[in-house]
Amino acid sequence: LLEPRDPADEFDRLSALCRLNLLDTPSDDRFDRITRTAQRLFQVPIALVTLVDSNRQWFKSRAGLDAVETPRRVAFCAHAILTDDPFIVEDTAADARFADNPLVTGAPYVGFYAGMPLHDTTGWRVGTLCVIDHVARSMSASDIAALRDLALWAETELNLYSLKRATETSRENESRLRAIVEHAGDAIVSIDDQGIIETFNPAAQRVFGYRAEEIIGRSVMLLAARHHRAGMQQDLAALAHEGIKGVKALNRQVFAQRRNGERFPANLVVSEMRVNERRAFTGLVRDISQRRRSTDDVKRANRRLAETLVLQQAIFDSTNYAIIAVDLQGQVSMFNDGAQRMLGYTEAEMQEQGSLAVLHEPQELAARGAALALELGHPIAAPADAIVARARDGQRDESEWTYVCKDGSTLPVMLSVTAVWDEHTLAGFVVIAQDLSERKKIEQLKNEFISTLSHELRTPLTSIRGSLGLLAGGAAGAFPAPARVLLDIANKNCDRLVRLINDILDVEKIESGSMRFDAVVQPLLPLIEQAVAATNAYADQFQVSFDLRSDAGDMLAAVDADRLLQVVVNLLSNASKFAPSGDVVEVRLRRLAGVARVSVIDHGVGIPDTFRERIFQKFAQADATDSRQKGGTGLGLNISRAIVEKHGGTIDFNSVPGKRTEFYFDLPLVAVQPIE
Amino acid sequence: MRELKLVMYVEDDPDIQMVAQMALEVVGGLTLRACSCGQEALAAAAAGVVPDLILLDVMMPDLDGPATLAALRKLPATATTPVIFMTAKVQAAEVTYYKSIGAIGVIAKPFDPMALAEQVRTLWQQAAP
Repeated sequence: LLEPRDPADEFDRLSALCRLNLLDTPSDDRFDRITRTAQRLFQVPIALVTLVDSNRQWFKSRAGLDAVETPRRVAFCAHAILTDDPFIVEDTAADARFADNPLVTGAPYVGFYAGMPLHDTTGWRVGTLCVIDHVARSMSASDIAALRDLALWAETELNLYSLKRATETSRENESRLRAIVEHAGDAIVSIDDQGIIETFNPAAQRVFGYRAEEIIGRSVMLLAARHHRAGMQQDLAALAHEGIKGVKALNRQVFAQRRNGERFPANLVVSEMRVNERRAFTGLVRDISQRRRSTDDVKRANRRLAETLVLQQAIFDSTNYAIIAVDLQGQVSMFNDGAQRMLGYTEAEMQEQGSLAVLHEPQELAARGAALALELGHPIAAPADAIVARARDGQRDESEWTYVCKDGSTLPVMLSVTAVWDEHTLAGFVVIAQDLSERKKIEQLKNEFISTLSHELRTPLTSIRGSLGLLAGGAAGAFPAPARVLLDIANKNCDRLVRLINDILDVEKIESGSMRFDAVVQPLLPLIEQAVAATNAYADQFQVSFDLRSDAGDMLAAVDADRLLQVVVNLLSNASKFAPSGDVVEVRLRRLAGVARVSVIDHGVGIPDTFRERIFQKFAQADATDSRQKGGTGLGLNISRAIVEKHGGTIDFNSVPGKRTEFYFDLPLVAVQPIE
Repeated sequence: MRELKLVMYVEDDPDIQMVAQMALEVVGGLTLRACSCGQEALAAAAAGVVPDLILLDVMMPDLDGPATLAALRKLPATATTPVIFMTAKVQAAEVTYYKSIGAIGVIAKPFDPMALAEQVRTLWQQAAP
């Protein structure tokens, strides 16, 4: 078997074949007419119009043959296209080149073959017109001429057909392109090399607000934002002159302008085309104002996030606070700079600990754990759980603790413990510790100052009061009447100054929390009796007396006797001062639901309702002049309220001015008998 | 019961000392051995003064009240003498402390001069065995 060789320039020949747009197209009568004619003319069973493709021959028309194509290596036509001459094999069985060809030994049993090459318009031999017989035969000169004529006919049809196909294809492409342009979401504007708009797709009409017919023929400058026009002028000049190479960025952001003057950011992609040997350009314009806006939103959100992060970082890096995060197992996951400075441990060292317990005194953890178990009503599992127990139960927790540093030193801290939730699951805790050393130091300084001040004031006051007291008491002899009056004034005011200093000290102690309360369960009545006895002499000055009654037998309460006495004496002396001369102040001890009520009732001017708000405040007296006239300090009720509240009680009053004013306080009753 | 007669009084402020002296001697009819500092009291006790009661100011330079008391307890004359502190700092915790180191009572400054002697006598009687 002789396989056909490839013609010279086979690649170009195949390209020419493809340009015909004929391969694998349906059969066509115009070619079938030719093969039928050849069949009849030469009295052969088979006549074909074949196209020789890269590895097959394909039959555009096949009279008397069922196969659509055969492999190229066995194709007679592949030999026929090698020259412009007719290719004739009169007896295939006698020809060594074809005797063993499968097309000869099997179907379609080629005994005779005569083929004429077919040329495209540029002269490439793309296929053949051939006739085939099953038996050997000869071709006369006139036969060959006839075959050549038929081949020329086929060539004409081939090229006509191909032209038609090409036109159809291009029209198809054009309409496809037009559909793309028409339906494109982006504005597509084409201009000539002078910047005159030639096409303007529907999207462009939507985006720019011009109708195609009103903008086509006008300058593309109309579509650029005013401040962009100068740059655009340069670009257009460059485009006209050098084509697309002259413009630096083919894809860039520009500011475009709509018909209504509104400017908008747009993405512009420019491409160059050749139309009738002229340069023309297509611009693809995408309105990105929406995208810009959402980009701006994202930027804003990012900026806020960044600010928050910076803030968090600042808090996190803060030197004054230790910020420690632990997971549910107590494993430290975060130990900020502040914590490292405060406590001396590095983050890595804390992570090795696996618990916060190392930062605490074991006794304090145990004590706090026991108290929390009572408070929360469930046991505290591990010692370190005392730190987070309240937060774990969903409560706010701020408590003072003692921290133990790596070097063993201790410092007072305020711990704020917050539960950290991951969606709805408890994930861990954040502990923020504030070093209270400085505050404690300042508090101590303040306390020391007040203590010192009180002592320093008391020393001269002791001499003054002592001297005045001795003079007024006659220890230094008798004085004339005017001197006595003056002496009494000095003596009285000196007493008041002493009380004032005492009260200020009390207020300071209450506010700093340093007032000690030694609550002991005891009957209340004896305390009230004691207070009445202590105030009797004072009340005498105002010609006021007390009427003490208890209707409730022995009532027990947990009280600090000295402090409670202070409260009752304060109420009794207030009543004495404000009661009318000759009044009998009622002192009542009664049992109410769960509480003991102590009432002091006078029948003086009373207290206007407008004063209710302020009466328990410091230095509050309904009539500012009263303070001086009545010799009070303005602190008594403030101190009394603090003391009553420290006992878990409440203090209040009700007053019908001019008739009856009752001050009372309630203390929780204790059921048990006093310990003897 | 023995009558209270000789009181040793230690007070560094001369004015207060003078007032207290009048209050106790003129008003109260007691005999006072006034000292201006702890050392003077120690010297007096060492020199043979045997008071029935000692009134001690708490805040004094050098030897303060409690230190003076500790030193006085080492002298035979004052080893068991009842002691009353006088102080401007009358806070519950301090009163408890003074009593814990052996005081039979604490009198707050400023004191009532006309009642001072009575106050002292009452405390002395309460502490008497």
